[in-house]
Amino acid sequence: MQVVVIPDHRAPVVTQMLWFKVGGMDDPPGVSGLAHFFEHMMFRGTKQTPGDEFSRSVARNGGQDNAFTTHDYTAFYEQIAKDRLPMVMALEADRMANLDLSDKNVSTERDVVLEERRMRVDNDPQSLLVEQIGAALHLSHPYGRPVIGWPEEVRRIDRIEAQDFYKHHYAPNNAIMIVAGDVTVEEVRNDAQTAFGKVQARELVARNAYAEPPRMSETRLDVVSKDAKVPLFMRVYRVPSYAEGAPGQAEALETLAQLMGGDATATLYRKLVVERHMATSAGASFDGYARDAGEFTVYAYPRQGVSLAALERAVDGVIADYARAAPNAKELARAKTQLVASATYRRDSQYAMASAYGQALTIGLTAFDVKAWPDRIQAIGGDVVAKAAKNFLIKREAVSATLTPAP
Amino acid sequence: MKKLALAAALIALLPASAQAFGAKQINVAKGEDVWFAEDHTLPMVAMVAAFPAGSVYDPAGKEGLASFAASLLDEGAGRLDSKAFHDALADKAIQLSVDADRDWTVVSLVTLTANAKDAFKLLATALAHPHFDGDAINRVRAQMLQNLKQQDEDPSEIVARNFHQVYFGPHPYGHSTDGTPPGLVSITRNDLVSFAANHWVRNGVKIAVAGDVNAATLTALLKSTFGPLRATAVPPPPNPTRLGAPGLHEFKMDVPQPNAVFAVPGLLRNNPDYLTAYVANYILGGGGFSSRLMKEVRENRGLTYDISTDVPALRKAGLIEGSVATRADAMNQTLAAVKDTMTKFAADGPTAQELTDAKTYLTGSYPLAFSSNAGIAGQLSAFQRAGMPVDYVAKRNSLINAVTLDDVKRVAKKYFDPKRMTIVVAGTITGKKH
Repeated sequence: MQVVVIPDHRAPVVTQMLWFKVGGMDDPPGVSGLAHFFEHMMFRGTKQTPGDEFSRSVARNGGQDNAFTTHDYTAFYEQIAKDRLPMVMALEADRMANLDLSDKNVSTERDVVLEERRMRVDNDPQSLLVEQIGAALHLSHPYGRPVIGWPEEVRRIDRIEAQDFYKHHYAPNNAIMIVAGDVTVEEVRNDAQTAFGKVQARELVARNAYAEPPRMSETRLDVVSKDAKVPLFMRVYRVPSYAEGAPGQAEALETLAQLMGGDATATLYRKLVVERHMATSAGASFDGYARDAGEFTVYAYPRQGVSLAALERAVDGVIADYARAAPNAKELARAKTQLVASATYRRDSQYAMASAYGQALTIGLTAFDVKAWPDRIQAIGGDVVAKAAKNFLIKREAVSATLTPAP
Repeated sequence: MKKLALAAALIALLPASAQAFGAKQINVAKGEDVWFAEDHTLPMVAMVAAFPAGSVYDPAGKEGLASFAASLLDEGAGRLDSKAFHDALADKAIQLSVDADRDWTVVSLVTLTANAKDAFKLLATALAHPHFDGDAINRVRAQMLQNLKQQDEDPSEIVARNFHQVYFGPHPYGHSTDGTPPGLVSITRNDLVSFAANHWVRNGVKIAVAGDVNAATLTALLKSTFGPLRATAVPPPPNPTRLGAPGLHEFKMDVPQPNAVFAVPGLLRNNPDYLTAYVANYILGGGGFSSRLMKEVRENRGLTYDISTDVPALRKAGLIEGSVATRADAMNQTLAAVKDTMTKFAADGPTAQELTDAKTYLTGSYPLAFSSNAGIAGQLSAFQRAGMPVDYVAKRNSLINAVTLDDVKRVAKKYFDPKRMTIVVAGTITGKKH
């Protein structure tokens, strides 16, 4: 188990995050949602800490806990007074090895997850669209399956499946621990050895490697929904991530996203919302912290009376401008200033720092990579940004989608 | 995620060693209430300033005015047009956000120390000399109308909107802070100008600052930022005439998962029993996985992903308010379980163990709110808006520890009464009544 310590002595508290290198992409075929479901089961108790005693004892000790799952990883965290760090380490070590899975717990938790899905996805036309875009964007890679799972497949999860998943993925040799807060490296080393030293490593199932075939055409998804009240244009490109890309590629895409759609000074907002009165909002984002492909998203909500087709053409115009020539030097400097400052602001939060390191390490980057990120952003030149726009924002590698309210 | 973050409680959570953090009050000028926590670890400053400018001050027929004005704060001021103003913020990575809630307009400013002077200067200009330029007014109006339309597809928005309407009726707490379509359409530039002049004022503003600045420098920055504002006294909001409409109110929507909000009348923040009700609420529904409602409704029955209650205290109304979402055919069963759980809680109160656990959580987690500059400024601001004195920061944990089992039983019996419950559902309930 790899352990990273991020000292922050401003308050007598710590944030412990335990990251497992397993996520939705490791769901067995036909059982999408298993990794996320399993995150829920980790709160269902062990012999030593039965039932819901895990969260109760964290709370009784003045702590807060929660967890989250993505395609690449599953993370569990506790925030608590620093003298309780050994206690929460012992709790994590216990549930890493001794989880008590019963049929009753599995079936109740399945219902809970289906309610979570209704809340996050089924009740929300935009979320449903994003889910469909994801499925269409990946021809072979399991990134195309929703982390929360397709409802029919979630209903299939049973105890044996869960048990099997636990056995193959939950072990210290598949985990990274990040502790941020009022601690020293020595303290954490001692506490972690005491808590996790006796937990046995397990033989892990090798993660599948996927080779995505080249796409032969742009994919379009035009959804008409009776639940949607406002139209939306969205396009998601499959692009290099920080883990997968050549040096500098992800940084260039990050800078491009900030320039094109990061805030109210960004080009999509300026051009489409402020100057041309075509949209009520518009933006772009880059999700580069993935083990395999990253995603670059552009979107715009049309103003009343503006067609989605006209809006899409306007977005394409902005993208074409970036692909044609290096961005305005002043705007590039501004985008970089904001990205670099975000790394300083992040230091204000134990949670944000632990998350940044945990997410980078679980996808195969190093702590040094995280530390040097502001310098690498600072080094990005305008020509590199233009090249990224030209090489990676190509429609063939994207799903272009519209959402239209049913008449 | 396994669970949603706990709803931000009015009094957020505090630490075991409350003496470890503190705030001092600094004197800037008459009318302003400034709390300050100095820390030079990181090169940044965070400020939260709250003006008595919430949607409760929206005139009838102009619903949404407070939010509309807030959205225009960064759309041009002084010699800077909208574009230049946004550029000036972004060039220095200054984070300025403005949001109106029911009672307050809350301005949040985060800046690197090196740019603090510029940051406060931009805010000063925005507060004293906002343009309310016609193009920005039209754009923001279109955005707000679109936002309302988009909310129409979301049962969690529809239920919140209708809950306040049902609970408060014609009182200005009864409409959404986001306004109504006719309200937004009828708002003129004059309305915006006079709202800012009458509510973005220095009398009654609450300012909380944390981070890398010293008291002398901060005093000068605040003087130049807030000093030029008018000293007009803002009248308190009117008292509500209605507190709830007991019974079930269903707003039909064809969605997979209807949402419910339920509430009984609660306590104002200055009620001596408020903190006792706060502790009681933790045990019933405020305590996440430690709460009775989560145990009954989620853990035992698998009926929901999230259920929680809170004791929000508006300036003129306190509520004990909860929310839950479940599939259409389980809503009746879920609401019955909520009522049963509350009935039992009101009758018997908590166990001694539950009270002890509540206290160790509420006091032990207090320091978590003081682990960042942004967190400290937010926490101090919440206390200020609740009308607490500055020494409350240090006293808060001992007040919680002083709550007795008899206190909680008495308060549970008096307030947690499901017969007075207003329930609003957005969605279409199917299945049998319970």
